[in-house]
Amino acid sequence: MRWPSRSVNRLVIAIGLTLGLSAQFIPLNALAAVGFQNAYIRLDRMKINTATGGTVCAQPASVATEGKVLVTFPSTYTVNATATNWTVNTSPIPAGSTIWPGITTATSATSPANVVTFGSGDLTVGILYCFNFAATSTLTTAVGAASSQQASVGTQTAASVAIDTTLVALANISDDQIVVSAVVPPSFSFTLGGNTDSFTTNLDPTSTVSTTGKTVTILTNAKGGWIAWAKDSQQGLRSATAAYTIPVAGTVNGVPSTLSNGVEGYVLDTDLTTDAVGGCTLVIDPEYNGIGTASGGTLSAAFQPIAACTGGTANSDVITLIERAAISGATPAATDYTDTITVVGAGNF
Amino acid sequence: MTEVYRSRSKQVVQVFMLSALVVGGFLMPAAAGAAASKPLNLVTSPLPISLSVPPGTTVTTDLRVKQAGPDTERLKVTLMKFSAFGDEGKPRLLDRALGDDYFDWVKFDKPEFDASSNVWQSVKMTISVPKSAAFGYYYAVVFSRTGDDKAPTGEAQPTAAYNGGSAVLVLLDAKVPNAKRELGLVSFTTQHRIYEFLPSAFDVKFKNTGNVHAVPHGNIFILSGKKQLASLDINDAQGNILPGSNRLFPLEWQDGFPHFEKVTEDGKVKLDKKNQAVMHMVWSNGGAGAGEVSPHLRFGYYTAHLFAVYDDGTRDVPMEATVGFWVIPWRFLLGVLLVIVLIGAGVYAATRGAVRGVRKIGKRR
Repeated sequence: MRWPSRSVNRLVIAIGLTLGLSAQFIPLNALAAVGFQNAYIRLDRMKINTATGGTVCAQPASVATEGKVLVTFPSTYTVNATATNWTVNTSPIPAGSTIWPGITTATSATSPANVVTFGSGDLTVGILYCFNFAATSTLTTAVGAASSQQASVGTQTAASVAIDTTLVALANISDDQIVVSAVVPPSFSFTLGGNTDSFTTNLDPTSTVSTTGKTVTILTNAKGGWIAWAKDSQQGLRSATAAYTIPVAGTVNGVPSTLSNGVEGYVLDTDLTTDAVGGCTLVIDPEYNGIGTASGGTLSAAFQPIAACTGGTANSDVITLIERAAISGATPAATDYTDTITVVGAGNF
Repeated sequence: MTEVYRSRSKQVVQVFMLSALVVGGFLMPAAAGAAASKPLNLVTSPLPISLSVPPGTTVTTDLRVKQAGPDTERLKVTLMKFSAFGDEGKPRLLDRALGDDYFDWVKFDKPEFDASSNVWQSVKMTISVPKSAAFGYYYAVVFSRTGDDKAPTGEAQPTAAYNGGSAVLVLLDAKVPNAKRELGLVSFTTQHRIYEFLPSAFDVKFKNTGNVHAVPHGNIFILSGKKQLASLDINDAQGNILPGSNRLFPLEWQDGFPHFEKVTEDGKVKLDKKNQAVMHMVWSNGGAGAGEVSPHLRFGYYTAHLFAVYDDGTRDVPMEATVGFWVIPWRFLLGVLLVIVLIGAGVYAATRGAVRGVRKIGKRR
């Protein structure tokens, strides 16, 4: 046997060099799997040694017909090898992404290789696809905190020919949750609409005259509700200059007193203005639950309950306090008839 | 003539203006002297405070108050006491009376203080409980604005003044061996024997026959035969009953289809002219059954079984009672009966007419 001639050798070398150089210009993806345009794994929990689900997203770069998606978790993670545990869903997925078409429960899950293979439909280049995998009996994060633990997302054809593969990094921290705590203290808010309340006109023997009225607004988170009491400084409207008191009418007997024109009398009427919804039941004490514009309860030197709300909290219950007075023709004239009523509220005991 | 008229007119105007000034001068000081009605907004915390200490010790508790008005206000602390009175145990607020030496045990670190707008102030209440103390003492610490207890002056009309206050109730138990913590069930009643629709209302009344406050709690179990339909909490707010007093706990069973509910408008319960809540019928389950699709129809005889306990210091002491009531939607039943009667009457009339017709035909033949 003879060795080929020198020219043949040269030809072989030339062909070899040409092929070698040409290979540098052949597109890479025609030779092997390339990376996605974008790919990531977002786990639900980053805390160490914690069961977690997660979201897998990828934006294909290669034109091919996908049949599988392979997710490889870091070797420090624990993958449950029961493939049927690796169920998937597509709601919710990150904003701007598209539901991963044809995604199915894992067909295989291997440990310690930590590769989980899901079924996939055909993907379109340039679109970001996402799906979620379940958290129950699937993946457990690494025992120790670490950053940049290598994982990967890859797609294959149904015949297991690699299409796109991208390495991604996962990290663990010792705790990934912030406990938010707050205290709502028990409180009682009492708002008196004003500290003076004038009669709307001068007192007149031919009619019963009333004050404009002042509101008492109560908010409390006391589960037992609230109570309000009132007492009077002098049991009537007192004029210092006339040295005279228009006396309170009636007695404290659980029934309101009605004033008569031309007969001296002075009462406190308590109106239920707002029984706020969803809380306690507000009831005006019968003594002070006047009817019409000429009746009310007898003011006393001792505190008397005027209203109570029981059976729950109060979110802006409102009662209105109105004084009513009648005088006779003989009531001494004076411009300084006044009275001081003390009103106290409290959360129930 | 015209000149004279003009001159007189001018004089009249001048006199009128002078008069107005004089009268106005008298009126002005009164109007200027009248103070504007000033609101008061106080927020206090915590709510009823329970303290339990042995005699001969000192206990301190923080009372917090905030005035939510726009300006800084001068507030004062006033010590009162509270109790309960009457058949239903209405709460009563009382000033110090003769013999109330236990008021002297209490000191406040700030009896008066300036309260800036919306800033919580803390007032320390220190109670030096003497060795001779025993059982329960019930304080009401009232926060109010200084000066509001003075009668107003310079008002144009007769005027009532308000001295508003917000109270924090403090229940002190001076623990001694012979303390008697004892409650009794006074009554367990239903407001009606027969209800057309739910809610059915119950009143549970306890009496404290001991010498220190106590807290009852428990349930009313609603039964149809032996089947339990509902459980209502008694005193889930953990309210106290003071020694020697009653306390009434009203409860409602609302879980029925249909049921009556209070009418609400703009977050308020709608009231009638007598300040009673306006009710309307709601075609769904109420109370605990609200939201359930299957209708909880209520018809027939039911029993309400009360089971409550209180802690006497060593064990839970039970109290039990039972009351029965009917739920009969009588108007609905009357309507059904009326329809049946009308149908029956119609059938009867038609049959009678047909029979007569047949007889007539028979007679003609």
